[in-house]
Amino acid sequence: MDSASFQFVLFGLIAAIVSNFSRSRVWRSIILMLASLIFLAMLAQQLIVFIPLAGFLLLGYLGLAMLERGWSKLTVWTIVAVIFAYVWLKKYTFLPEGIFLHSPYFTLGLSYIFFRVLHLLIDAGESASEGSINKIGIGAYLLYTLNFTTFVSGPIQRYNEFAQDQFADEPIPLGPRVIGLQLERLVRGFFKVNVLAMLLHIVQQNGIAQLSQPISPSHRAVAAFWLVAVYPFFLYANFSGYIDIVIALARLMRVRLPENFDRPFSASSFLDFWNRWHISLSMWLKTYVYNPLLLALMRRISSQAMAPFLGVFCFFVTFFLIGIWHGRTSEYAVFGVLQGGGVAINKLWQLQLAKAIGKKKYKELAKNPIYIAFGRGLTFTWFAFTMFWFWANWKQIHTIFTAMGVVQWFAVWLAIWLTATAVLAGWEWLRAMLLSIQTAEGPVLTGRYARVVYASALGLAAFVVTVLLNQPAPGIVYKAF
Amino acid sequence: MRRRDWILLPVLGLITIALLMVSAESIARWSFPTSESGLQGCFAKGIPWGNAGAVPNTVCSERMAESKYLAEYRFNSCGHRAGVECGPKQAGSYRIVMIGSSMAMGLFTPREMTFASLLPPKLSQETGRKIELYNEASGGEFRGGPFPMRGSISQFKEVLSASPDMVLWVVTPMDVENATFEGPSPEQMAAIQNRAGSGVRSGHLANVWNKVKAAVTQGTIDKELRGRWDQSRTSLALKHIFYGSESQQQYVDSYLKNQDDSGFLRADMSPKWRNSLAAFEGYAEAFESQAKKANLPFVVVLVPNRAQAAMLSMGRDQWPAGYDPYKLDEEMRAIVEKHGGTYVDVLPEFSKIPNPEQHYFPIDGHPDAEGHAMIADVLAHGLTNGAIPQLKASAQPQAQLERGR
Repeated sequence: MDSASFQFVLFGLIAAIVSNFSRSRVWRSIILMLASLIFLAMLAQQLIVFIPLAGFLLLGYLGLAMLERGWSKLTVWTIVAVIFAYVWLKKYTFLPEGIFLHSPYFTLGLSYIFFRVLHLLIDAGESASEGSINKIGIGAYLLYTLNFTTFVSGPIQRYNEFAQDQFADEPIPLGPRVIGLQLERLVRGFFKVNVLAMLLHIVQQNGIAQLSQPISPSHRAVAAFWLVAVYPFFLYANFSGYIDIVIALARLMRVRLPENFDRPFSASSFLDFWNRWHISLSMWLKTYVYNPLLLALMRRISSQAMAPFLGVFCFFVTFFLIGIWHGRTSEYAVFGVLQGGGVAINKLWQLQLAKAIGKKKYKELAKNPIYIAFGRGLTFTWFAFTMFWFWANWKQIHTIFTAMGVVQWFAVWLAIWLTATAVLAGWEWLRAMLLSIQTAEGPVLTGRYARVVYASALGLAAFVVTVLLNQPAPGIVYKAF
Repeated sequence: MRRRDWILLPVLGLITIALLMVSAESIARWSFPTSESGLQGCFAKGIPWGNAGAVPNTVCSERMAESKYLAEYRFNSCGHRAGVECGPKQAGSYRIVMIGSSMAMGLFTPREMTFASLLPPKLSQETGRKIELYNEASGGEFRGGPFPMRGSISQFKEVLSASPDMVLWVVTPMDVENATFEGPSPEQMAAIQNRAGSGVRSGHLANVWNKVKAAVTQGTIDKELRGRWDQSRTSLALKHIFYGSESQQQYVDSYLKNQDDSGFLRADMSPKWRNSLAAFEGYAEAFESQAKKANLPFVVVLVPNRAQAAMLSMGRDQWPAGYDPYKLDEEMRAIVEKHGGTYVDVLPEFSKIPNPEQHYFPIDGHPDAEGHAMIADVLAHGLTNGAIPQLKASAQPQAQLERGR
């Protein structure tokens, strides 16, 4: 059962319907657990392949139990053990090959379970040191870590948010309006993954194929343009579509999952971009890496002049970690450097510009539509170029970059920046204009009638492409991490 | 949510879907037009399948949705789309009589753009002698006696009566597959007859209602709906766009998933394709023995289908494990040479052409006008490279000879 397939959506809808047979939290928890176990069983045929995952969950729970008993001194050790177990099970290439397990085992969802377990351990460690212990039973722990709606690719939900909805005596309301909105979101997500992402994937694949063929330099530059420009949109459609589906399914089961995207391509800076892209991951790392690291450094280095640069350093480390979390090879390390570097340079630029022209003028400049438009274009272009280290291996990267000279690549880069600036600004203007058409109930485009119209249209398109044309869509990219 | 919305919203959804379907079909019909009459019009009515050729001296035209051109089929008094009247060859010329199926006939392509038309000037240019090509290939859906087909061994006498200096058999993978074909199923036959009579509108609504009723009562509604969808122009337009925009690798990967059709591309051919090759050998042996008796060179050439051309162009290192697009070529060479014919191998030429699959209709699979030009170039090179002594490229091509005169 693929994670954004028609079968998955149907499975989720059945689970949601059965879950709503009773408002009792016990009933809803039993159904969620059963659905999660059935989902896992459908992903792998043999029970034995789950043993390493079960071991990882057990390790996490043992650590949690010890911290809940007040053994706060073990916090660091339990965290180190969980990180090591994760790195070992994911076979990071910096570890010696000989220590890995060589029989096949199940690692799907492990990256997201890792964040959930780590968050529980860190919070439990802090609570233990403060003497305020909040115990989590094994049932709740498994329900939280194996929840089928967040298992494959997140979003990374915090335990307290999960528990607040899942274990509430009075579950959150689910009226016709909410059901309608979730069904519309399901259709939208399904369309994004199975139609939009599939079409963009075809364009990207054509770009790759053309770059390795004997075509004229101008055609080659056009192919490179599409190859670079299309992938971020593909990834967005692929990942945010899946997130739309799981958020809608979870909401129908009366659990609110955190949003993972907030119109990322409208971001006017790279710092802003990471506030809008894979939000649950970047917020997790800001909470558990950036903030503690910055605090620790500021305690050690008290110089006021150095304080802004400590922030820059912490941004670099945080977003470097985001990069290497994505994969175990050296390509992802470079991807991490480029993400961390992008954020750090962005922060440095803000600091230096504010210093050079004064804070007031800088604030005025930051509100200037032209400055914002070019910043948005540059943000998109940087992200698009860093994506090579995300989806390609070194051999492919070499083929792509040697397909054209430095000057041609620079021209492509410039063309993407200018095009992205114009197109994204145009899109923002159009969106604002359309949303300004309002009735007493709000913008017409977000009203129920408009939603029904475009959900019907998107649903029809998705049905035609997936069922009638049987056109295969690429799998969820973030499933692999 | 207001009470009226319980009615209004579903109705709005249904109206949206209906409007989209109607407008998509209208746009598809406008973008991918077809002609009303077709190749069927040149064949005797009531004979939906068989060796009976086109009715002599008939003209019909057809525009297939994927094609840019209206193809005119003008059959001579012998029922051949040869571009000339049947009869003796021109004095001093070297006549090649070509046999084959729909691809060699130039289905969906205007005659002047087919490789049958483009090849003779190229051969004349290369060899320095006047070459004419008389096209006896025939095709269409189960029509007109393509080679090979049940009964085409006796039909071969007609080929010999066209006073050839050489017989050229242009074969496609589908021809090899069809060598075991015993005739259309009753459903296929009914479909052909239905299409032939699609202009008749009387009782149309009643027919539709009866079909819907039968589909519901027999539980075949999903099959019926899918059939309707497959016949829609929207379906054709979308498939054309999707298949046409796939990269070479994506297209080959998806083609190879259909193991039945792609069996001939496997390094280890499936039993089905082995049977087809055995049947093909029966035809080849019979044709070659008749040609030998008439003391005629008999030349066979395999022109790849769309997927095979794509694989050849991709290069050996890109083929999935267990696949070899040259496998059928090797098998055919062995068969043809075993019975004394000449096999001209043109497949390596396709490996030098970038994206040759772009020159075939994405859904239909026949070559388009550019594809015919590509095949003409490849055949001209293959036929004049020395494998056939009579067509060996001259040191002084015709243009130079003419200039010298």
